[in-house]
Amino acid sequence: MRIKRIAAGILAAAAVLSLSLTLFACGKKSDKTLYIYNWSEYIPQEVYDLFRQETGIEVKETTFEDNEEMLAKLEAQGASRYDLVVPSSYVIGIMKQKGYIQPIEKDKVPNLKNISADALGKNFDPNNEYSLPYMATMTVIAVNVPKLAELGVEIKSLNDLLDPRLEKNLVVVDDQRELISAALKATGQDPDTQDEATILGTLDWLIALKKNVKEFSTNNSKVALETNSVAAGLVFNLDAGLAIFENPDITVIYTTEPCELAMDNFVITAGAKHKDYAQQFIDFVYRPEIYKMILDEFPGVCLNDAAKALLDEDYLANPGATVDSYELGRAHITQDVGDAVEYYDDVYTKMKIN
Amino acid sequence: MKKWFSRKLAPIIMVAPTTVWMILFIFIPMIIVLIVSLVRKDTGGGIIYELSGNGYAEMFKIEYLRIILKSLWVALEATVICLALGYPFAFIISKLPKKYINFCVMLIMLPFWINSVIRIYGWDTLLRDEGVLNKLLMSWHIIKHPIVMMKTEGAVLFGLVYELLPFMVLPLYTSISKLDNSMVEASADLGATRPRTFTRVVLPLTMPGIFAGSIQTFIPALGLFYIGDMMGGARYMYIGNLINNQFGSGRNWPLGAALSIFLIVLTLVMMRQYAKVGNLEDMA
Repeated sequence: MRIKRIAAGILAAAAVLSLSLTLFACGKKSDKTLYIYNWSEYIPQEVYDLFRQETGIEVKETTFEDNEEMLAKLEAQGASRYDLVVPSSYVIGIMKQKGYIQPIEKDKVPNLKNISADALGKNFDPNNEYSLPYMATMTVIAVNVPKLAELGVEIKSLNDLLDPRLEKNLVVVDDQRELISAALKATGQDPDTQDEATILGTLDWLIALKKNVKEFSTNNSKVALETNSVAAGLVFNLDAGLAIFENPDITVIYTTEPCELAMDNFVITAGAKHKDYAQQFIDFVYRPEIYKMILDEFPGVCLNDAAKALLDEDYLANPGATVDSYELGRAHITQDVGDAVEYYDDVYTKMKIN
Repeated sequence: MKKWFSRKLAPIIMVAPTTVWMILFIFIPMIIVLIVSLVRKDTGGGIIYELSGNGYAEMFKIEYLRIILKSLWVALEATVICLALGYPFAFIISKLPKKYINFCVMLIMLPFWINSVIRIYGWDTLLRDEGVLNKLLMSWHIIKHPIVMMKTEGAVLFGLVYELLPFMVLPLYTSISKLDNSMVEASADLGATRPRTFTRVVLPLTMPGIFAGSIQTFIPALGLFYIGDMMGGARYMYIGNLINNQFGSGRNWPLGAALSIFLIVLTLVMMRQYAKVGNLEDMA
């Protein structure tokens, strides 16, 4: 009886202790911390480590997989939970409108001079008041040259992706805006249309595309390319670049239609507790050697002229990592479509169940 | 004082953490989902606090109904296959010599020690066109061209069965090991053939296990959306993907929440059915 009572006491104590530990463990944190909310696989850990060594500021990174996931989290948890966020161009308008972001003090970011003039003053933030460019991602067509030759297929237009000989031989990003933009461009229409009938009209094109798609994958497309699982892909240049480094049979080709481009930007949240740290970090990333370090790991589109001068030969020779500058210039920057997103979601769902 | 402690306070302290846990992580989130399902959606995601039935009304689009039916069908297929594989499997384990039983049960639990997403990635390495299995078969000249196994509907079903088989086997094992052998002997003594003994004695007595296992397989099978993405190449949409989409690129939280409520209600109905037929002890 006595043993039982002692055991009960110990158990109760343990229960209380563990509960209080979980409740109070969260309360303790270091003051010099920068909270960044970023795409997964976009800034390597070494950059954060170097920043800490130099400034003593610890960077805590939380990651997201797409802009909408990021918006949802800011909506649900409040933007001020993070100091620095890295959204794509087309959601910056929404973030401004919802009051999630505040102006950046550009004089605190002297290395901004390294950033290419082409990357500044875009229509989503004409004076770069709220956003400063980080990197860009261009959606390109990556092809497996021997596989495509074996099939006898040549890709000159987005419409060639519908060639029946490519049946179940494509990897494409699992992203409704990207694929519907492709359908709209292929059929000669405005890729940012908000017109219901036009958007729903892409269904046939999308269904034809789906017949050729082996895998819809936003984050893993490089594996499908690398392992020769598919003959071609509509993928982000970063993934194409990584696949090309691993598999020399892969290359990038361009079509008559312009590519889709997303500019990813640094923004500082409205209630940021560490605005200074955030600006310091942006400035740090803009240093040519740091920016190059990032590109070596994640070969997005380089927007830093000073870093461009440092890039290795095999980086410049990789058509996924270093995209064609003419194509970059004429690429279409994805815009927000407001409430028309409903029609985009609708036609995408219809394609998926077909 | 001591008596008071052991009689009143100790049980409260023991139960409190679980209760707090349940309220914080199950009850409150459910209420939030319910609220979100009943308000209006905001442009760019998020919600406006105005009562609205749109979330539920939009559920009845023909495409969504097709997705729901398809998800139910795939979950049913996975459950039936798990049952067909799991029943003999559990039977064999329960008839093993005592010293091996614990070891075998541990082997069933072993996969839970590794994150399920990582295990699914493992299948990709094994089964893709240039994967280990295809390469082996080709080097042995059994096949000339790789067999396409990954990114198909079959692969999705395989992934579900692989992931959920333990949830079927464990309750079946519990139920079957409780089966009193003298019943089987009595049936044989009274002249029943072996198939008849199975259908009239063994099957009814292990029904609670069958029911528990089926529910524990069927319900998670509805929600495992990443298996459709990773094994099926996201070529098909299941109810899990649909819900996930509404909170993401679809920017329609009320619809996503309404679909979640539908799943929760479906689960509750099935649990109730189970409580009637089976015996809750076998749920563990």
